Order: sequence, then C-alpha cells, then structure tokens
Amino acid sequence: MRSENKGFLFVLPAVILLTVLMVYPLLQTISYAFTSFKLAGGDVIFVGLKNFRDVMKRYEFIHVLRNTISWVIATVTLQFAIAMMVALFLNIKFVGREVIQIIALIPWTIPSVVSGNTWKWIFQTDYGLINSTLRALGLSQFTRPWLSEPRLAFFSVLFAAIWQGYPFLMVMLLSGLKGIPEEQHEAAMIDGANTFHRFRYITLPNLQNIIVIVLTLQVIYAWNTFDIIFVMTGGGPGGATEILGLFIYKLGFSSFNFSQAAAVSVILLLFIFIVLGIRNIASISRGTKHA
Amino acid sequence: MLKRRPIHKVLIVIGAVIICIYSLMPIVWIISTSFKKPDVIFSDPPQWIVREPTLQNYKQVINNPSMKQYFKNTVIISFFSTLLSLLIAILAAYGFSRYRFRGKSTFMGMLFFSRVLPRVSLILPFFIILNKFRLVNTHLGLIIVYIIIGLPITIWLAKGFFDKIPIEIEESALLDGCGPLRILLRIIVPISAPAIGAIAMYAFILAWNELLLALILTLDISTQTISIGLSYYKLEFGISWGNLMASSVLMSIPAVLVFIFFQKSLVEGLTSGSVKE
Repeated sequence: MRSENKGFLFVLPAVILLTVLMVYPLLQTISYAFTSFKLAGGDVIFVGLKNFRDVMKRYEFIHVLRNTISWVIATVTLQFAIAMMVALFLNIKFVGREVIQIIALIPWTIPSVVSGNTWKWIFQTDYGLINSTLRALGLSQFTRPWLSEPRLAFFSVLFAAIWQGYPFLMVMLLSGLKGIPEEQHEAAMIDGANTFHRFRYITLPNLQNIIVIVLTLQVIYAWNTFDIIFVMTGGGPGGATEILGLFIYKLGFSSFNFSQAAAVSVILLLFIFIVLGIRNIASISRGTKHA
Repeated sequence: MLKRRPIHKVLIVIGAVIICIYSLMPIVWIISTSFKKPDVIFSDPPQWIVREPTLQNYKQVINNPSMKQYFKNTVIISFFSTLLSLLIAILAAYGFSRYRFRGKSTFMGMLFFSRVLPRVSLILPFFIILNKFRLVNTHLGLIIVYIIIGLPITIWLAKGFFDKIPIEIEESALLDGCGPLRILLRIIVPISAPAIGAIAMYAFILAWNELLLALILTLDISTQTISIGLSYYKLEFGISWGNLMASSVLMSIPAVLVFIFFQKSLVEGLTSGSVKE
C-alpha cells in the first residue's frame, strides 16, 4: 500500500459527487424539517418541531407507522426463514445444484415494477390466476378480493415482496454456509449429534456474523420498500398498505408539503441510525465475547 | 464421506421441484399471458399452455409510440449513467485499494453509510438539488442521480476485486516509470475486465429497473423511463393485461440475461463485500 496523496486524487471525483449531491442535500433536508420551507418560495423561518408535531397529528401517521413496523417485522422474519431453508438445501451437494441456485435467484433479478404487475395480475379479483384456479378446482368459496380488501391486500403485497426479496438473503447465507469447514460437521456426526444439534451448535454460531449483516441490510431495505407496493396497490385500499416510503412520496409530491415530508424523512433516518447502532453494539459485544 | 440413502435423493428432488415452482410459476404465467389473444387471457379455467400463441401483444407494444419513447429514454439514461459511474468507481476503487491517505477511513465510512441509506429518504434531497440546477425532467438529471446511488456499491465491488490483484504486478511497471493512471489503465483494468463487466452490468440494471427516483425527477414522456411506463400502464392504455405482460417481458429480458451471464462474479462480489466488511 502506497501512502501518497495521489490516492486522494483518485477518489476525488467520487467524493465530490457524493458530497455535493448526497451529503449536502441530505443535510439540507434535515434542516428543512425544522423550517417552513416551501418549494414555491417565500420566507424560510425556523419553526422548531412544528413540522414533526403536524405530521404526527395527521390521522394517517400512526396508521402508516404501524403498517411500516408490521411490514418490516413480517418481511424480515419470513424472508429470513425462507432464505435459511433454501440456503441449507442448496448447501447439500447434488447434481444440478447450480442450476437450481440460478433459478432461485431469478425472482430477485426481475425488475420490481414487473414483479409488482405480475403479482397484481395473479391476485386480480375477477380473472386473476389464483381466483380462477380456485374456481376451476371447485373451491369458489375460497375466492377473495386479494388486493381490494385491506387486510388481505397487506398479505398479498407481503407475499409478492418476499418472493422478490428473499433470494438476496439466501445467497448471502449460502456463501456463509459454504465457508463452514466440513470437518466440524463430520466430527459432530461421529459424536452422534443429530441434524438439529448440528444446526444449532455448528451452523448458527458460524453464521453469526453474516446473519447480523444480512438482517441489518434487510431491515433497512424493508423500511425502504416502495416500488412493489406502489405498483400493486398504491398504498391502498384505504391506506392498508401505505408505509413510510409511500407516505413521504405522497406528502412531498402529491400534497407538495415539503417540510412535513422532510420531517418524515428525518424520522426514517433516525430509525436507520437506531438499527445501525444496535448492529454495532451487537458486533462489539460479540467481539468482547470472543476475545 | 457420508453415504447418501435413496430417501435423501427423493427429498432432494422434492425440494428442487418446490423451489422451481415457487420461483418460476409467476414468470411462466406472465410469459404465457403475453402470448395470448385478448379473449383467451380471461379464460376460465386458466390456460397455462397457450393453444394459439400470438405475437399481437408484442407487435402492439413495439409499435406504440409512447412505449418506444420510454424504451429510448431508458436506454440513454442507463447507458450514460453506467459509463460515467464505471469511470468514477474504477478511479475511486483504485485509490481506496492501493493508497493510504488522510481522510480515507472517513470516506470509506461515508461510502458504507450511503450504501445503507434508504432511497426514500433521498427523494427530497435529490429533488431539491436537481431543481436548483434546473435538471428536473432532463436525461442528465436522472443520469447523475443513478451514478450517485450506484457509486457506493460499484466502488465497493471494484475495490473488492482490485484488492485481490497482487501489488507486485504493478511494481515492475512502476520501475519502468509508468504513472499510476497508466498502471491502472494498462494493467489493472485489463486484468479485472470480467469483474468490471459485472460491475457495469450492475450499474446498468440499477438504472434500467429504477422507479422511485424516475417518478419524482421526470415530468413527461420526453424523459420518463420504462418503469414509469409500466407502473402507469393502465392509466394510459386501459388495462390490457396482454400488452402489459408483453412489455413486462421485454423490460425484464436485459436484467435476467445479464444476471445469468454474470451471476458468478456478481454473486461473489456482492457476498464477499459484505462478508468481509
């Protein structure tokens, strides 16, 4: 490694771009959250926490927050469970494993707009695949308006998001699994450990690091969900699938209430900091344990 | 070695079949819908294998002037954002990989942070700054924004690949009096061509698929991308599921093909970047 200041010149373009177009506007957004900024102009006055109070007073806010939290918990846990099962499966050596791995990853590569439209078409009430299959099987009593009944809509969108999102988690876990030395499992088997014990006492501890990283990323991605909900329901019906991302979009670009949208963005950023903070604490405590 | 009992083979086949059905069922369904005539699309019970496949949907989509414009915008924006982001990312990654300099760890931290920053929290900042520079509803505006959101990951990936190239390779060139920029272009870039290809594809697909930022930074069809075209489809054309599915297939082809070709180096780069971290 060379220690010359030439290295700085190499990273300069990236640093300038990120500073001017990401860090600076981000700080500006945070400041807008505390002012009466309007896109149309006018005086910008410091208003303290007024925007936050106004946002929280909006009747949708608590609703959106509750949806977001259920959304994050549900997508992360379900995606993790599915990803772990598939990763464990793909860690077995068998003929054609690589092909199956590519197939499992395909949903992740489909543009989210396309998967949104696809699932919207599958869940469609009158002619959608699910309802017409149910009818064909003589199970008409189970047909449902999957996307127009609030509670069902939440689960339908959730289902689609899991389908699209779990492969990334899976491939990360799989790469962790492949790094576990086989001797550990063989030794445990000689000692008579069953599959569950080996998973609990060999696989999980070995994966600890990667699980923390993957869950952190996934929690952040889940807060960030926009495309698939926007395409499938637009946040409806009756706000049943509206989460923070859509809320910011609507506040800022349908109601043009920039300062309140900025306030919600700040709330979102706070959550991210909390998640990253927990993650750091987790890795620090692990560090001391192994020391 | 462990001997595999026949029951295991059966379980493996069952597992593989479940994964295939779960992953591919929706995809097969959109492809099948895209080849159906309007009256067959709503057939009850659902028809998986199209008896009289038609290219009608694809012809309508390709000949639709709005769709043409959407595709054209997407190609322009994705191409230039990929090119520029590759250039900036390679330079930065080389600097991070080979040099020690003041503020390095701060920049790396900034990079990691911007990687985990949710895109929805950036829509206001991006809009405000582009509005200031009068770049809203221009191709350039979206190109810049896609460079920015791609950079954290492209730099990360490129740095990961460069780190694996032994520094000794550069030493002889250095003795011959080559400047660092020439070493980068003549030695490092050719060696890591496949990896750079994967990174380029990552940046391209990012721009090709993106919806949220396109939604707020474009105002009309002169700049709107295919993802907007598809999410507003029913408003503009009335719901024609056949057309919608045909354009969905067309939009997905680049992403899926690129992934299948580059999956090894992409998966490797993405996972190793986080495993080491």
